[in-house]
Amino acid sequence: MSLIRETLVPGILVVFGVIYYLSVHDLPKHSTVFPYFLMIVMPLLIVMIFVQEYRERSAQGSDADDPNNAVKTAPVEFKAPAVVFAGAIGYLLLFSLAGFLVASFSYVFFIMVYFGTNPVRSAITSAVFTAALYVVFAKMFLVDL
Amino acid sequence: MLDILTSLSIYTLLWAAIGMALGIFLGALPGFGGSSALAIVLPIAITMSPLNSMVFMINVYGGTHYGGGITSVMLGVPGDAAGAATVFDGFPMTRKGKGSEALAMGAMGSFVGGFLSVLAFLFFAPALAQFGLRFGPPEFFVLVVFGLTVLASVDAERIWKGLFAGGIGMAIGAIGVDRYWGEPRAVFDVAHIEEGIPFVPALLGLFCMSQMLELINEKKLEQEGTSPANPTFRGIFKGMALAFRHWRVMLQSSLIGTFIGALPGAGATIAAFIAYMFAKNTSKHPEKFGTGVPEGVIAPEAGNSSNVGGALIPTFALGIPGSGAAAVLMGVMMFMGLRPGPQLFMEQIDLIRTLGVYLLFGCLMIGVCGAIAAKYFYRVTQVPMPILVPCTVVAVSVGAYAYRTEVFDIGVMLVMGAFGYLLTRFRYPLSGVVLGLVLGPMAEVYFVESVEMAAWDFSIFFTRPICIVLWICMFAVVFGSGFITRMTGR
Repeated sequence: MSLIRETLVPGILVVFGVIYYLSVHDLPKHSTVFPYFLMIVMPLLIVMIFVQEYRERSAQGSDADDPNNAVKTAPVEFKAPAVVFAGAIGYLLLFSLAGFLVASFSYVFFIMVYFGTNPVRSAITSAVFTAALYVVFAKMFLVDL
Repeated sequence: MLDILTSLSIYTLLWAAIGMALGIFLGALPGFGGSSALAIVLPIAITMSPLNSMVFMINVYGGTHYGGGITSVMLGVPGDAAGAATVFDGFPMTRKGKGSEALAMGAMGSFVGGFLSVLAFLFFAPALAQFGLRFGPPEFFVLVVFGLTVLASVDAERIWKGLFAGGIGMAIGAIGVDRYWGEPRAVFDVAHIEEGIPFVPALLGLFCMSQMLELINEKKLEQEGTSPANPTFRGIFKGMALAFRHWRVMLQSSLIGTFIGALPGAGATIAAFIAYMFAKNTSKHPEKFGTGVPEGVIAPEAGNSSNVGGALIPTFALGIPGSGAAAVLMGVMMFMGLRPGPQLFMEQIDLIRTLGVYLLFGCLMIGVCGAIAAKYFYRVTQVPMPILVPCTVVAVSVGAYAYRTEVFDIGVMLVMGAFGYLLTRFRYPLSGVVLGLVLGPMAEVYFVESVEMAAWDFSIFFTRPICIVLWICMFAVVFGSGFITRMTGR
C-alpha cells in the first residue's frame, strides 16, 4: 500500500472538515468550540500518521525482497466486495420500490448465484432465509416491513 | 436478595439463554468480536424492555468470548483477538484427540471467570458510583478524557491511527443539533440527521457490513487441512470434571481478567495473554505450555471472560466505557433512557442487582451448556461465504431499517459500511470510531457545562482536587497499559 493511498482516509476527513466548517462557521462560540478543537487536533494526528507510516516503510524498504513482505503487499481483491456493495445499493433501491420480501429474496439469490452457488439451492436458501427474517421482525418484533 | 430472586422472570431468563447462545454462535465467526456481535443484535435488543435488553446484550458479549475460543481450540484459528491465547494449548489438545476436553475446560474457565467478575461488579460498582456522586461537570469531563485514552491503546502498534479513529467518531458525533444549545450543525436541512447520525445503523455499517465486505474474498471460514473430529459428550463431561482440578489457575486468571477489564484500554485480549503468562510462570511445569496442557486453555478463557464483568464496573458506575464493546453497550443504555453513571445507582439500584442475578445465570449457562453447544456451534465455520455474506447483509439492513422504520437508515448503514471497510483496509481500529462516537458528545456537553460554570476559565480542569487525581491516574494507566502491552508482546 503506497504512502499516497494512505491519504485516502485523511482526505475524506479533510473534505468533511471543510464542509462542516462552512456549515457551522456563523454559529455562536459555545456551539463550535468543540468541533473547532477537533479541527485543530485532527490535522496534527494526520501528520503523526504520515510520519509513522513513512518510518515503517523506510524500515521495510531494505527487506523488499523478503517473501514475507510479499504477502503483506499482495494486491487486494476489490471485485467481490464491490459486487456485494453494489448489490446492496440495488437492494436499498428495490426495498423502497418493491418492499422487503422481493428485495431480500432477489439480493440473496443474486449474490449466491454470482459467487457460484447452484441456482436451485440459492433459490431455496433465499426463500427460507427471507421468510425466517420476515417472521422474526414483522411478526415477533412487529416491525412494519 | 430474596425479593430479587422471587421477581425473576422466565422470559428474561430465556433472553439471557438466547443471548448467550447467539454470542457463542457469533463469536465462533472469525472477525466477529464483542463489538460486532453487539452491533448485529442491536435491532433485536432495542425492541425489548431496558432490563431484558441489558441482560440479552451482556450475555451476547460474554458468549462471544467463549465462542471465539471454540475455533481457537477446534481449528487453531481464533474467532477474535481475545481467543488468540487459547490457540497455544487448545489446538495442540485437539491434535492429541482431546478437543472435547479442551472445549469443556474452556467453558469451565469462562464460567468461573464470568461468575467472579459479575460478583466483583455487584460488589465494587455501587461503591465506585457512591464516590462518583462527588463529581461535577469538570470531573466528568476529565473522566471522559480518561475514557478517550483507551483510543491510544486500541492498537498499540498504531497509536496515532487509534486516536485518529476516535477523532473520526467524535466528528461524526458532532453532526446534528448541538445537545447543549440546540444549534443545528452540518444538518443541511436533512430531517433524518437532525438528532445526529443514527447510532444503530452507523454501528451496523461499521462493524457488520464492513466485515462482510472483508470476508467475501474468503471461500469458507474453515482452513484447508484442518478438519477436527466432532466433539463427543463423553470427552466434554470428562473435561468439565477435570477442569476443577485447576481451581487455582481459574481463580487467579479470573482476578487478573476482572482487574484488567476495569482499566480503560487494557481489554480482553491483554487479559487473556496476561492470564496465560501468569499461569505459565506460576506452573510447576512451564515447559509443557504450548504442547496442550489444560491450564493453557483454562487461564486465557477465564481471563477474557472475567474481563466482561470488570469492564461493566466503570461503564455502569461512572458512565465511562473501558472498551469498544462497552461503548456499544453504553450507547444502547442511553438509547433506552438509562443514563450510566452514579445517578443510575441511586435511582435504579434494584435494576442493577436484578441485572447482576441474570448475568450470573448467563455465566452458569456457559458452564452447563457451553461445551455441549460448542459441539454444534463450531460447524458455523463451515458455512460457505456466498451464503453467509448476503444473508448477513440483508439481516443488518433490516436491523438498520427496524431502528426507525426509515429506508434512509439502510443508506446510512451502507455508507458507514463502505467507510468502515476503508478504515479496516487502512488499519484504523473501528472500535476507536465507536468510542469516539459515544464519548465525543458526552465530552462536549461536560466541557461546555464546565467552562460555562467557570466563565470560560480552562484552569477549572486542572485545579479541582478530584480532577488532579484523575489526571494522575490517567497518566499512570496510559503508561501502565503501554508497559503491559509491551510485556505481553502485542
